[in-house]
Amino acid sequence: MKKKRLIAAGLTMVMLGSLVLTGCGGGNSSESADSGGGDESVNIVWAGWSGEEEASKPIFERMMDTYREETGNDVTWVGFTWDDAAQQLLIRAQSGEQLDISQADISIFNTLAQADVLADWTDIVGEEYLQNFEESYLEVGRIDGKQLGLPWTMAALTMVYNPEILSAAGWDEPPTTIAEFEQCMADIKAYDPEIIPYALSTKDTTCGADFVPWLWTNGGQIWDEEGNVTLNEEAGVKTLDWYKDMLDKGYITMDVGRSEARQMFAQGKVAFYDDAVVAKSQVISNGVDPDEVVNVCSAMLRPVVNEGDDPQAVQWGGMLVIYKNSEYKEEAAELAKVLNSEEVALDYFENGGMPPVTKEVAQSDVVKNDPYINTFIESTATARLEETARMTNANEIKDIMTEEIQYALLGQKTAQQALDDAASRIEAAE
Amino acid sequence: MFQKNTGFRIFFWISLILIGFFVFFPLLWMINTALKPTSETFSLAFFTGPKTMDNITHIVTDEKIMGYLKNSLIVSFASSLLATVVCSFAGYSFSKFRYRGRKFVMGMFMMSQAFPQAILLLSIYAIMQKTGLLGSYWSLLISYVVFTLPVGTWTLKSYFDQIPNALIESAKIDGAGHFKIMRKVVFPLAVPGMITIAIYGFVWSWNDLLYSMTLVTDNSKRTLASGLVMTFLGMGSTNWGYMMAASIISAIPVTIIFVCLQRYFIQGLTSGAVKG
Amino acid sequence: MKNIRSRGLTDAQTGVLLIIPGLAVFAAIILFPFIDAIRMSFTDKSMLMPDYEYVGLKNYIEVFSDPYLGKTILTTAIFVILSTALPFLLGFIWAIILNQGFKGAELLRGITLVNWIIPGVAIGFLWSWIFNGQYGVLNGMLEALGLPGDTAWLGQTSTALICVVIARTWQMLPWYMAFLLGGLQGVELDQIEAARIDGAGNWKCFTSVVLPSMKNIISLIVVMGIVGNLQHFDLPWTMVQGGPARATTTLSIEVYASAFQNWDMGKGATIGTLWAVLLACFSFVYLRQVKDSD
Repeated sequence: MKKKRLIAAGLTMVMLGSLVLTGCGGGNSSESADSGGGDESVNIVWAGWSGEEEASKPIFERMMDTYREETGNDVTWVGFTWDDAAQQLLIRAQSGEQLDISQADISIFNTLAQADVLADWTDIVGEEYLQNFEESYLEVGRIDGKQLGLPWTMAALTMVYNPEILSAAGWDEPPTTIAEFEQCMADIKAYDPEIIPYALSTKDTTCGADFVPWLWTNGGQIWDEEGNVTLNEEAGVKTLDWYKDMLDKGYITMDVGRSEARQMFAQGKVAFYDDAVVAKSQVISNGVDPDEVVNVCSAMLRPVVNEGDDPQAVQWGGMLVIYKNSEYKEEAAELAKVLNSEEVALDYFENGGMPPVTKEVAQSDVVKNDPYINTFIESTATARLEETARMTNANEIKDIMTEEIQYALLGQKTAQQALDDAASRIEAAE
Repeated sequence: MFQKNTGFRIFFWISLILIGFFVFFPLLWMINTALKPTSETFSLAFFTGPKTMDNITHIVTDEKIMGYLKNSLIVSFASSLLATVVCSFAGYSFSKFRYRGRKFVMGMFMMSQAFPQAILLLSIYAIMQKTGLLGSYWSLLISYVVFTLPVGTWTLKSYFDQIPNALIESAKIDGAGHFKIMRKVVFPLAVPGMITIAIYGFVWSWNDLLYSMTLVTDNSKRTLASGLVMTFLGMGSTNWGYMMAASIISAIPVTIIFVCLQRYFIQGLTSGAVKG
Repeated sequence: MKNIRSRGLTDAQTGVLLIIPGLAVFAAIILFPFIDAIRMSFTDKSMLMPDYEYVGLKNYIEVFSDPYLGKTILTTAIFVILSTALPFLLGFIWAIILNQGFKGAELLRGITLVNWIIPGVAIGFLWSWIFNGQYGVLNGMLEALGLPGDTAWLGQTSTALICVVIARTWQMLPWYMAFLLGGLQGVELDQIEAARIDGAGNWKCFTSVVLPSMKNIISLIVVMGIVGNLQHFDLPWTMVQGGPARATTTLSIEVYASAFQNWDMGKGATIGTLWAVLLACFSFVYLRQVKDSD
């Protein structure tokens, strides 16, 4: 008898507990359903990172206002930092929480596409609308014939330099060959030893990623056409030895990633670094007048081994993606159309530096005559997708490369050893 | 406790200055940075350069940051309360009752400290998704008990172990039932231990980044640690002044609570239960 | 009402009843995920794909054939030992200082606790700034003192781990201080008097009276500290992402990177399982020792 009572009491407790829990959970989900359930006006969720950044926040506010005015729908922004975006978008897409549309750069796009959470734009907006974009841009967002990413802002990731520092060191034009580049870095070092000539990424995944275009420049690749790892062949070793040489001469330093490079560049402590069009926004948020940005922040083509070689650049792009589970795909597509419309795209271009992608807007005079953007567009001509860009374990490969590059830079392995180890680890990871 | 001879004096002053510098300089540097205008962030001026309240006002008036602060307070308070209650019951049960399976359950609790939380998270995530709790306060609240349960149960068990059985027996003779004994006799004696565990649980929940980043993706439910990361520490959005201002401001409410509780907390540790 | 009912329960039943809430939480958020993770370690589950297959021992073979496994375990051990010992030692000294009861000691004690309350991520970024090779505060101060100030503290394998340990020490010192201060205040002063009469100096008093009487609290916080440091992830991740050249890659960084950066849940779970086995051995030895000393 007593035992029964005991069991009953225990069960009651467990049940009460779970009731409280489910009650609470249920409350939350019904709340979100309410906010999106109306017939006429819907509230879509737009996620990403750029609207979170101080420099572009007001532009994103204007974008969303335009959408509200033109469609009568509402839009809620959910933001994170770029570093966490892939993970956060993935979690949100799989969790069942509302997520209709988000921005995605190439690597995030790849992750989301591999996770199979994206919808095909062709089904939503139709072939005809897609005709507004350059084929090469559409290509970036197409996987296995499906248009999973809609171009939004496209430009290559190339090199950025500070013309003021260069001219102070006696260079009126940026170097075009590696020999000139080395001379230029030596001159800058001589001019002011406090300045880091080249803020090359030497940590986090950006280190592995930025190694790739230099590897290409020296004629190498991570994989050959048959898919064999060729990272540890002559070109790779040459590139890594060159890295080490630059470190020994004080042209590059350890403990620099993209974000440190950006910060120091914006403060005028760095002459060169690798970046995409967004480089400008950090400089502007550091207090430089938007019209004078080109005096301290200009793009250049990556130096080549022999004059006349194709300068290497990595294809980079901002895209818009719609999620499979979204209930409001049409409404989300409306947002994409607003974002790519002339007025909004030019606002983003003029105030945020992001180049428009529709044929019509890209041809407008404002874009064509902009000195900052032109070199980026020029470098896009010879840009390629970074080699890991379509792989499920892209991060892992880049992490391996970063670690082994660091071993070589810190003198714990020779370039050949480090790349041999990298190659065998990459093979094991596949 | 110690004789204040020359040797001790030297030890005292050297330690006071060195450790004092180590403990307080970074803290002062945070305040120093929070008071600098953005253009001066990287100058090495230590409270000497131009000062501004911009960063502080920006943070205090930022509804989102204040929302994160509120969420963190709610979740940390609730989870430390939940953990303390659960741990007290379990610790008392382990300490004063004998039943089959007790040793086994105790061993399991102890061992569970060994398993990496990052891995538990993978399955917790799936459970929360299935029960529809994902994205709610509850998901964080319940998972944070993970941090405290093993340590808390064991610590409180050791507190209860110190309470003489005779005390409980005499209460029983007076006709008190199990729950009355718990309420009136045993638990009041273990209050210092409970406060210790509550603080332990509170700070761990307060500090957690991993779980809050994974179990909650909505701005309105996000806690401070992940909120700060998501707001200030991106590749293109590092703003040290805001970051430092936010860290300091967010530490203020908890510091006040701690300063009020510290006497109780620290003296509580002396009350006999953990002494040898 | 409650009393009447509870009086009807036997001791054993009450004990079981009390353990139910703890056990329920334990089963839901520790035991089940634990077993699930062990199961996961035999699959190729990825965060990117809902479908997975059982792959036998493939993950284990992969982890064991990783040439860096030994190094990761060693780094973990060094990190755990140093970042338990250092804040313990400094926290102990700090507790002794603050226990002197000079004017302002209580205030200092309160402010010291602030370090512990600042979110770990903020601490990580604060210290990565202090140690930064280019615009770091430490290098700036060294330069002001006329010393060479261009060391990339976080950029070389010889110093990176120490830097992380220092940041961790800063974060955890208040916690050790609080417990040890409590312990110090519990030391019976007449025992010290008695030792003094026997001619013991400060050091002798400390080792023969203070330390033994704080034995329990010391072993409690050392165990809590070790467990916390093993799980610790925020600082090495925010400061150096486990680099450079894996110098700060601990097991918890490795687990996180596998599961949440490379989306390989199977591998993350495998490392986690191995870790649990290692730790279980450690706890077993520890538990036996505790039993022996009782």
